[in-house]
Amino acid sequence: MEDKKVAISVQNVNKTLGDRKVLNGINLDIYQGETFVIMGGSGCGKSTLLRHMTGALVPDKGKVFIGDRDLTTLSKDEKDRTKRKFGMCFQSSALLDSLSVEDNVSLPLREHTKLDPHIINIIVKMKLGLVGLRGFEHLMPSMLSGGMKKRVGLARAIAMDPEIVFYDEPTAGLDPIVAAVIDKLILDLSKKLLITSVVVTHDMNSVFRIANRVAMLHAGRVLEIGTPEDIKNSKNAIVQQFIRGETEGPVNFIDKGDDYLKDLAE
Amino acid sequence: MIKFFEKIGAFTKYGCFVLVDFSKLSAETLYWIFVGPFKKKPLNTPHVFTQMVFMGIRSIVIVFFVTFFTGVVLAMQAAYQLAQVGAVVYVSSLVSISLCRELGPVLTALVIAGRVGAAITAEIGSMKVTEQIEALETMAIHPVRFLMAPKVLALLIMLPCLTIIGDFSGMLGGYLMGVFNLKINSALYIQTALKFLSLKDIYTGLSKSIVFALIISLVGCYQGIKTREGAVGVGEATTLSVVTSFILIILADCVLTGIYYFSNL
Amino acid sequence: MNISQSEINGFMVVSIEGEIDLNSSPQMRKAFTDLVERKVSKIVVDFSKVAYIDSSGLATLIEMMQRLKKNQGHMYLVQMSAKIKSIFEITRLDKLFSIFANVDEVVKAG
Repeated sequence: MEDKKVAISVQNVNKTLGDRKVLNGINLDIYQGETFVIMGGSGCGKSTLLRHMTGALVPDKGKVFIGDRDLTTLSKDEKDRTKRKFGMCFQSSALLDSLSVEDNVSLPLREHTKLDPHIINIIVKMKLGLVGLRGFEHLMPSMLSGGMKKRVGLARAIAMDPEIVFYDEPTAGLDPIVAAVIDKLILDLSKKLLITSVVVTHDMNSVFRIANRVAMLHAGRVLEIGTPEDIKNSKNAIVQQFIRGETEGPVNFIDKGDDYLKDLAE
Repeated sequence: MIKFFEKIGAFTKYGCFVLVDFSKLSAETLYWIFVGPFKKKPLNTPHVFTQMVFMGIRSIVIVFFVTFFTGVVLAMQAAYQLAQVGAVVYVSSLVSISLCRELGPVLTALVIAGRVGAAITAEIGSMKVTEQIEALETMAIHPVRFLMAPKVLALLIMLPCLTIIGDFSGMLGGYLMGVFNLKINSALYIQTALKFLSLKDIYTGLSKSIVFALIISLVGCYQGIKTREGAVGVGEATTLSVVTSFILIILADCVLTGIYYFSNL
Repeated sequence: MNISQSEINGFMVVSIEGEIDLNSSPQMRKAFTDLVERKVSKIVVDFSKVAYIDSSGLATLIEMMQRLKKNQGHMYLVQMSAKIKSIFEITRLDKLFSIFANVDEVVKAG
């Protein structure tokens, strides 16, 4: 990162969902062209944070800047215009199941541009080729496996040549080989097309394969932020427990005390 | 006792919230049907047509059966009463007028609420649950314009058409009953039916069906978009959608009939 | 985006200036379509002043190449910057097009 231009800036974001404080003063700067990974345990607020960056959720307090525009104060039309600069790859891939693979990928192009259908068709072929799915244009999403759906979702996310791509658990539920393929795609896109990638994941293999920088979230706060090396050598006990996947440490799921037995005895 | 009032308060608050929310969605949908296409972006036209086929063409058979047998029953019940005053021939006008003014639009709307309203809610609800709605929003594609407005427009066109089909098949049922069972002369039956049936009977009926179409589709969309997580959520929303539509249809029918009645339409 | 044309040794050299993106690629498509309809068969696209090309630009080039092929014509791309070249490489389109350093080499080769 020679010239550190900030692509996304999250400033003191707070969010309460229901009666649970999910985000508790998050501050992050994500630079242009880098692959930034947000990791953390289930329920730590990492997906919620991602949804603040895409504008799906509005913070109770704080600001989210995309470039120099504050997503939280933009008008609806301006927000829509900003949204066209980014693509999002959903955990469930979120393909529209009434549309074929081809129509799913071409949807943003058909909706937002005046390109000729023939040109759109070529773009769709290129994007599907990029994710290694040639010849699947006419299938419906229900006929595809999980990994293929994820790749179609990725093709759709990059259909408009976005500046930023968000990934919500891109490798969750995939076999190791497909997961590695997806990781390679993410790397390729950000290295060669200089796309800024923001990846939410708890797949540690993936984190160390793709990340330029990593933020570890815990209980709605940024616990640690740095390069993968920094994270590996972190002194923080929670971070260490998380990357090694140990049951014992500061985060405990299993009651050590006898409260549980007491509960049963009553 | 205070608890009781608290509950009433909370309920009223929630009711107002739903009402405001629902009105917002309705206003937005109608904007995208009648104003948006000329100012900003056209509707998702292919979707309008597929929905018209699903809502309209595929509902013809069920609408036919329901209204046809209603016509038959109506003729029998009317004959049972009218025979006592020796006016069996008026079965035909009674059947045609009650069908066009009342039973045709209402029965068709109820059938469609069960079939189409439920389908709208289930589709939008499961799209919400599987992040598809959020995906549309992230792509800066407005779900109301892309998904809901086409459905509402399709039903606005198709429900009056189905109502006309319902009116006719009901009258056919009455006619067959009258001619073959009650032995009324065929020409006389048709003549009597048409003599008392005026154009306003038909258009008051059709104007009702336009209101019903709005109720069914907007309630369907609203319940769909408010669906909570999971398959249970979709099921609950679908049930709620049909029940709400049923109640609102009957309520609206009562109000509209009142208006027509007291304003001599 | 500015498009200028000049003829060198029977090759039609099309110089494009600016960014080729969703908004400007239809303009480029129109220029190419005119050339193809005038039965120009050898087209050289000069990228020296192109700052950026997106997928719609690439797709437009592909479409024109297909149409030229039908007329027994050919398309040459010259003077690409490293950045533009890498965009062709990630989509592996560098293998599809005839890419040359400059117009002289095209004349020599063709």
